[in-house]
Amino acid sequence: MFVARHIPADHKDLIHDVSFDFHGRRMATCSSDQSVKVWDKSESGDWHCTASWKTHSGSVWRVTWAHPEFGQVLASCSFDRTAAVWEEIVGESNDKLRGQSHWVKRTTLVDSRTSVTDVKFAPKHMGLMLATCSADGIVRIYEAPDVMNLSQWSLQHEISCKLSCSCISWNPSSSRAHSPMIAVGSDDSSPNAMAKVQIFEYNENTRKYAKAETLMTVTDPVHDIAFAPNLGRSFHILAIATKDVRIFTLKPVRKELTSSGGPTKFEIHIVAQFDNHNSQVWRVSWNITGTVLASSGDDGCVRLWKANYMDNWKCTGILKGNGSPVNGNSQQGNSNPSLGSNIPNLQNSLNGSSSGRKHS
Amino acid sequence: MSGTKPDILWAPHQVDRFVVCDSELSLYHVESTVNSELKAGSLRLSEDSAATLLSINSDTPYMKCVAWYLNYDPECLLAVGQANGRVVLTSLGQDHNSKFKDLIGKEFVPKHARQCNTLAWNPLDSNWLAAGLDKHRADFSVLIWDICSKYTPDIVPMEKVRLSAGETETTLLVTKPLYELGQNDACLSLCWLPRDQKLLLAGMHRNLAIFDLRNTSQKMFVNTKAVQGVTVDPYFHDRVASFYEGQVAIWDLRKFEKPVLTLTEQPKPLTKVAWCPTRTGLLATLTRDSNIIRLYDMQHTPTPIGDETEPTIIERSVQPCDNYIASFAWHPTSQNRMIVVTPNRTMSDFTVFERISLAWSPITSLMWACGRHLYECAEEENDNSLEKDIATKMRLRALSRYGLDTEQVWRNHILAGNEDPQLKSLWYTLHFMKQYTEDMDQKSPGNKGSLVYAGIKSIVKSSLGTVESSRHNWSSLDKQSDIQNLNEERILALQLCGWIKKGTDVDVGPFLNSLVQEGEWERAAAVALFNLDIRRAIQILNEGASSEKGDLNLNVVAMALSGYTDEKNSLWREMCSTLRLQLNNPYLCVMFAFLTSETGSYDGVLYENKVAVRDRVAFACKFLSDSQLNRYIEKLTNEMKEAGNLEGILLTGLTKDGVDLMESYVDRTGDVQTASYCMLQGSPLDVLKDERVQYWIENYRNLLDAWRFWHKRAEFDIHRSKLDPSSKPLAQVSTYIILERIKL
Repeated sequence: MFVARHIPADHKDLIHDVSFDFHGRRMATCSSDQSVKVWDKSESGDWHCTASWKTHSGSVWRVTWAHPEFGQVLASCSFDRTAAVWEEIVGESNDKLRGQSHWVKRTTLVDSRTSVTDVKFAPKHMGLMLATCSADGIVRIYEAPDVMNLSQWSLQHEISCKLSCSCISWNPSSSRAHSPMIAVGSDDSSPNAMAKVQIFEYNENTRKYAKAETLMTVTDPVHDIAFAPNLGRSFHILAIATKDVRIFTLKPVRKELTSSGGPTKFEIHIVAQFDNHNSQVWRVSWNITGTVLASSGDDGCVRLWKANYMDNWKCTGILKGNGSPVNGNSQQGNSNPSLGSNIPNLQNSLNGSSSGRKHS
Repeated sequence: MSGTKPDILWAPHQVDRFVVCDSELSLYHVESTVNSELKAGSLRLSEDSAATLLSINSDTPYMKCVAWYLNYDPECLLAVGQANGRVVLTSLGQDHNSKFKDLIGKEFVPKHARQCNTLAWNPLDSNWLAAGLDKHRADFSVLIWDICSKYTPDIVPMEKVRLSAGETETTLLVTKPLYELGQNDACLSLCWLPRDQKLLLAGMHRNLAIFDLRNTSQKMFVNTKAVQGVTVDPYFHDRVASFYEGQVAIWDLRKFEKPVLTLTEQPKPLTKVAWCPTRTGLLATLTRDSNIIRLYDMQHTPTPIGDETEPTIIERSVQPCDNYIASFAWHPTSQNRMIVVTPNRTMSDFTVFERISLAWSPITSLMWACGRHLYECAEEENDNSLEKDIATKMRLRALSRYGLDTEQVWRNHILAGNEDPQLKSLWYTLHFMKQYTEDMDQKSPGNKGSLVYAGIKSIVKSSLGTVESSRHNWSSLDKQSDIQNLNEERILALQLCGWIKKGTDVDVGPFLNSLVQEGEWERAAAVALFNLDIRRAIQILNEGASSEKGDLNLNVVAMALSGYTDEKNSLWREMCSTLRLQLNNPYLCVMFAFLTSETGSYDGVLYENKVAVRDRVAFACKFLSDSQLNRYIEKLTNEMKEAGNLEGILLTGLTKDGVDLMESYVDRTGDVQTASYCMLQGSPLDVLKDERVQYWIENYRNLLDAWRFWHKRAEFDIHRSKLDPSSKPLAQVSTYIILERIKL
């Protein structure tokens, strides 16, 4: 189903994050070597590194793209306690001729007193905003009031999470029915049983972020968190990387009855929980429709998860971290009995539902 | 090692070789088994590697510690520290022509016999070997030998040198070390500091000491209990690890007063700690009686230079095998690779995986980073479409102009790939709705037209309270006194179901013909039967049985059908009502359900979920009384809404109900493309203004943007503005293109 190929990355140390721009034609990587690299996809589908520069004075944990409506803009965050916003310089220069692009730092966000562990731009409809979280347990939300001036960012909100934060995810929904929302994960490993995922929601009346939910069942360190692209659904899907892969759905309880002032109430269900990675799960990432989840874990494998029409989530593919298929024999991940289930089965149950036009 | 417990070492240069040492030395060769079978006599190390024993050396008794010579030549030269303090050079190599072969068999003898605890080759001057010994009164415990030293009174002539240690023992003795250090002390562990050839770090009895060979009278030391297993981080030469019982201490040599960090204490005493040689800051530790290697990933440890930084240490554990692990060794060059050995000498070869970060691109390719490497993984284009995710499906459908055929509306299901029965049903429904709306508008330009798009539920409701239908009597089948008088609304419903064509004729003939043509024999027969033409049904089944693709068993069904009798207690009826459940085809099943049913009770047909909704609804329109029909349609509509089944659009039409149904469909599938195009097909403005509909449209446009389908989006916007003139999207299109230009 999937075939992997190696791309020479040329980072001098571990790569911590990979991020695509809105169109998937540009990519950024960041590393412990303190640099960020920008990659452009050629017409033939090959990736070429078009910029590589030192961004921080410590490991760079995360890199992320702003929506292209705001220009070619990146944000990075680092162990050096800062986050930074970068912009590509347009124009003819020697760099350009050599197929290289030039990026300049527009701002450094220095409010954190500890390592900044994640940075994410808010969904486009909220304007040019970004959130950071740090090991001191604070989520900070910045806004560039003038999208033409990327050097001016004002700290709008500071949300205290009480626990060392490792990851954040904005709810991407742009529906007017949903308030801006951000989920925060903590990798605090002290042996307390505190919940490690908190969800904050913006309240129009108080103009502040307030806690909307705490996922009480997640008590182990959380390494990554990701809202699925909402894609017109009436509920939100949240994937969590902790000691296993977990998928929650959050269905807003219709607001008509509750007073509009209070936080939204959610019906929260856990729809999947998989420990196939054996131990810690490091990252989770949704495809563009929020229908396929990729996860990586301590077993050195990348796994793909997908729900069938009955909302049963199943593993639909496994690849080793070095790109080779599991068991070294077949590229068809789903012909592998160890997968437990495979897509043909899933499709059969689907077709049997109500077609009535097929010969049995 | 201590007699029974084996230790394991990778060769520093010949990276496919390792040695296991317990009472003897065994040299193994590692091979990949990816493309070959396991050879006879070789041992499996992992899924894709195996080891072959090359040679065994049992010349050296009482081994306490072993260190591999760092030069290529002579091949496989090992220094062995013995229980009596002697250090012997021995070889497992096959090459007898080495110009340094006189090294083999040399012995270095301390003044007083005591156990040799540790050996360390100098990484810069390959002839220097440091040995750490137990305490013997005031004697020195750290001896540095020059292995080329000829300080032996009588060297035997070269031709007499043999590999056998027994014969050369007396002739190759070296008794004068180059340096003697650590007087009146014991040495438990040693390592050379890579930043200077002359600096030696030693774990002594109660302290860690740095000896400087340029001035042996001085040493730098710090009192600590953590004196075992000193080892320097190969990527950060000031960082040193040592241990004591279950505790690992991390030191910074620039601030050597106290550990910069101690790791969480482990419940059992540690036996080995080792830095990974292929990446920064990864320390592996092993305790006694454990099958787990605990790893500490130190991206940053506090440094004395910087300020009070908090350490970022990720603790992980790996379990390479089920048995207890006796020892382990990192591979010198393969990334994060390690080999472990158990007390009974089973070995396994495995790799510690890096934290993989990953990201999906909008065009469903997955990129991930593992260590310093990047991998891209794309869905294969020639994949069976059934397995494709909705993201891929929508993209391909957008390319095939799905949703944009506004004339032959039904064709959109072909554009969608002709694979999904629900989409087929949906687009036929929308096709019929469009057709009959136009029809009605022509006949009587009034409000009837909008009724068509409101679905059968509304149509049926609108007929309620009009003249109560009278009953027909049909001659050929007696029991069918139930057949309803077909009023205008019911005819419209049947038309939308596709059973009858335009015009006032209630004739299913053309529909039957088209079903027969498509090879849907069972369905055609059932529809014929429901229209009380049992002869035609039998004829269709016969036709099906004799056709190429048809099923011969259809003849048997036809036979059974022809025996139909309306006798209530007949054997035929009894047999048919029980055996029909064994029929696989739902249409065959409902035919017998119909024939054996009690008058006025058709649940066997109406609630057979595998029969298409349109056929069941058409059936209901023909046989249920107004109130029954109304109740049935209401029930079925709710069922469809709940399930998000697009066949139900036939009932709900493009109304609020339809939006509810579509909401469940989108929740279930994420298919905002179908939702958008469906709702743009003919919804009244108030439905189109529904927040949910607007949101699907917005999401679909966003997808088209992400895929850079500028033209597709322009087409979509034009299509949209036809139905909803209030949407003015064109200005945005141009800004987008401009932004793109700037980028280029």
